[in-house]
Amino acid sequence: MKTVLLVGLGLIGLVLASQGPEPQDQPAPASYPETPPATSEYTRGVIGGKHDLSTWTGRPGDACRACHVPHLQGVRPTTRPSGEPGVELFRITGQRAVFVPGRYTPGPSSLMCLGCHDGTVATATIGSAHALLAGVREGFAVPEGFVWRDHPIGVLYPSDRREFRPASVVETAGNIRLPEGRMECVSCHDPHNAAGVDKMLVMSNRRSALCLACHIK
Amino acid sequence: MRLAVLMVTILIAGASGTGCGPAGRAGNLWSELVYYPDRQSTPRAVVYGHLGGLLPRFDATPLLARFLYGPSDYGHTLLRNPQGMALLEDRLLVCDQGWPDVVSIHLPSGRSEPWCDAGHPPRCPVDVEADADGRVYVADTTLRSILVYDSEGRFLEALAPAAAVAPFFRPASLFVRGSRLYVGNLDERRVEQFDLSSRQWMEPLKATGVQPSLVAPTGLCATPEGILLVADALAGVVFRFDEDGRPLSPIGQPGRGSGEFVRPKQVACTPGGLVLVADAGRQSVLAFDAAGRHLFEIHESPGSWTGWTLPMGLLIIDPARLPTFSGRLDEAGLPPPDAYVIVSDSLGGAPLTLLGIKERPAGGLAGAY
Repeated sequence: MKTVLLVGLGLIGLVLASQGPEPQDQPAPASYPETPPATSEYTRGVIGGKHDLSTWTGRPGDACRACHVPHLQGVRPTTRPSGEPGVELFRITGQRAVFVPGRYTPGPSSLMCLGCHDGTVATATIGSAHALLAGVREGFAVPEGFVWRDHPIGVLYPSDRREFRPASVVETAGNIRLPEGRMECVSCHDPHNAAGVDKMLVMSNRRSALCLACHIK
Repeated sequence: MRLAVLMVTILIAGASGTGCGPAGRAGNLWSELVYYPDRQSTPRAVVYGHLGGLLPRFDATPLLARFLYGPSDYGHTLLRNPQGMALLEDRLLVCDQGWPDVVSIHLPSGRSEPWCDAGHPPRCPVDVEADADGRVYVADTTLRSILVYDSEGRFLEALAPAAAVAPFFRPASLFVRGSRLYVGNLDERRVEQFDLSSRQWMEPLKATGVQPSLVAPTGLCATPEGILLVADALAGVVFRFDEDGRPLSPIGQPGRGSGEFVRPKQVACTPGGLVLVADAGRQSVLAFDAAGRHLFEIHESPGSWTGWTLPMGLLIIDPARLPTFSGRLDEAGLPPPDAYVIVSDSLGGAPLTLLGIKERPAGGLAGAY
């Protein structure tokens, strides 16, 4: 029994050792690969889906390139800590820090979504009842008890309120993300559609499961 | 005192060299040099501030809207989520998805109001153009047609090509040149051409034989030399077509480097040939010369100007079309620019930003600052 336990521990150690530490100082690739790895969990849901823009352009690399702009998209900036949220990978050189404490403003990842989902390239969410309250703009101060017409983005997750589960619990499963502690488009939607759920949700909303992951009812 | 402030600004600008600069205030006029390679070179850009704040104050927001949307100081206008713009005499027409409608802003008085025929409002207005006869064309991606109104906002017709001409139609951008209406059609990934005189749809423009190919034509304009420019939000370039419709080498490329595009949504060209591109992904406006060389980028200036959140629309205006504002510049001792540029921001704190472009070397802004 002891031998089996030792062998098991050894195997686990080997697996951990083969993974190695998380790379922090990778150089930026010279160019983006034309063909993304087909077996990646990210590409599995993208290829052939609505976000696979290579079907529009005819260039295989465009499945990723449309959102992950070349040169820096696959590498965490070496100046940023390795534990930083993934949305930092989308931040663009020169892009301002959009979060203003206490004020409504979408985060960087949501801005990537809104860059297309503005009614021109894709369905409109700006000014619609879907995720943004019509008329709400950056600088809009959200009053206490304000009744949203639909689900807001760019707002702090209210972990301190009893009708919401703690953020740590919400994020435990790994499906729901709260970038920098805020509700963003990617909190409910997975642009990679890795789970293959309808409407690109991060998890099934059958019997309001997605809603109830945050809201205590 | 004012002269002293301006002199200080000159000194700081000269010491700073290139890039973003300090803000200056002259009377009620907020201005900021955002680009100045040196005090004499051109072109360069000046940010005057939120257009609504520079117009006479007129807030006609309905009480119900104020109740529903809560306290806000964003508007001297009705604007919520503006996108494409056009000038119709002394009115600025702005597509606004927050209503959704086209909001008319009377520039001399500042009065703003929903403009389209209440019986035929747009559902998703993304771009607007006016022709020489005062007809107004509104691209509606939900109705998949171009709504045509007269100069008073009365509905005339809904325009869309027959299925045999374009089986799929999603108009995302408009541009009128002479008697021709250009329409960026996202579904067919091409630019449709409609002859306003004969009312015939003509052979569409396609970027065949060039890489990348046309994908999402979200912005249209023409240079003084007659070259049609097409901003492609997904291909990440600005396509160019000569007057015969032949594709030329595009401007820029996708990327995050200098002069590269993330989400180029709209393109505009000044009378002097300066090409401006609004990039929603970079949250900036990039400037190129007529040959497509990148010149500079207009974006936030930390500590003084917060920049744009989701810049969507661009409109070039001759200074003579904004006499009230030019008068304020004159009162402040600031020379007028060669062209005004209005930038619409769908989510930013200022729905419309007024810029000044100085592109002729003689005289100019440099001496005043």
